[in-house]
Amino acid sequence: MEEQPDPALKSTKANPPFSIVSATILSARRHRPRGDHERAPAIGVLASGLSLRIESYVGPPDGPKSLATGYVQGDLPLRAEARSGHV
Amino acid sequence: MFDWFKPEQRVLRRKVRLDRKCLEAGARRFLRSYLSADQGRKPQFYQAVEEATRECSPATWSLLVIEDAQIAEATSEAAFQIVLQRQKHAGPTKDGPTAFVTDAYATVAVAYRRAAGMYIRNKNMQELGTAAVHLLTMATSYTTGQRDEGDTVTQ
Repeated sequence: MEEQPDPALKSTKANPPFSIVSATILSARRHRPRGDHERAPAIGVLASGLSLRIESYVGPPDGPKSLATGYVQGDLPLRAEARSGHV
Repeated sequence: MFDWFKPEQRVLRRKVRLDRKCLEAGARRFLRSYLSADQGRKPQFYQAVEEATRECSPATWSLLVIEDAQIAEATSEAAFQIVLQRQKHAGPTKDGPTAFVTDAYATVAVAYRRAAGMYIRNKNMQELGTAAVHLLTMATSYTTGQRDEGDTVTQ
């Protein structure tokens, strides 16, 4: 009888376990020699995008101003611009 | 539907419940603190999760022979055990350097649980896990960038 994969590791559209998200941290831990094409992106550029995503998942930090997005809570137009990548 | 009653699913649900109890608050606190920290302090967060990840990763030689899922499970379990130990010794403190480090381990545990696909059936934990993975990605990028700069200077 064919062995069934662990259901927790089944890839689904909603949550591919080894999507880019997961593969990023896993591949980073394997000590592969890196070529120029594999150089890590500049932290500033990466942080501005990923901080926005973190905020979208865990909510804005405490305090009146979100440093991740640089907008004051309630200032929705600027927030929308930040999300669309225009700022 | 009947998957819900399978023993492995029960084990998985129990693990997720335990994660919600022991890891969720710390990881959420760490991520929110990261978001509200000024640029000068953000590297402390990167270094904390990098060190926690290094501490919890399987030995380098074993990375060549085990699968990605096993790496993720082993790393998350090691981080989880460290969180439990630290919580036991430090008590329920939520501030200070000790809590900061414990929360870094909780964040690493949640990120690797997410990578192992453990949160498929729990939207809250899955989102928290994805957020934690993003922070680890930034931490890796930051440390790699620092190392590359160091290499350039020494050449």
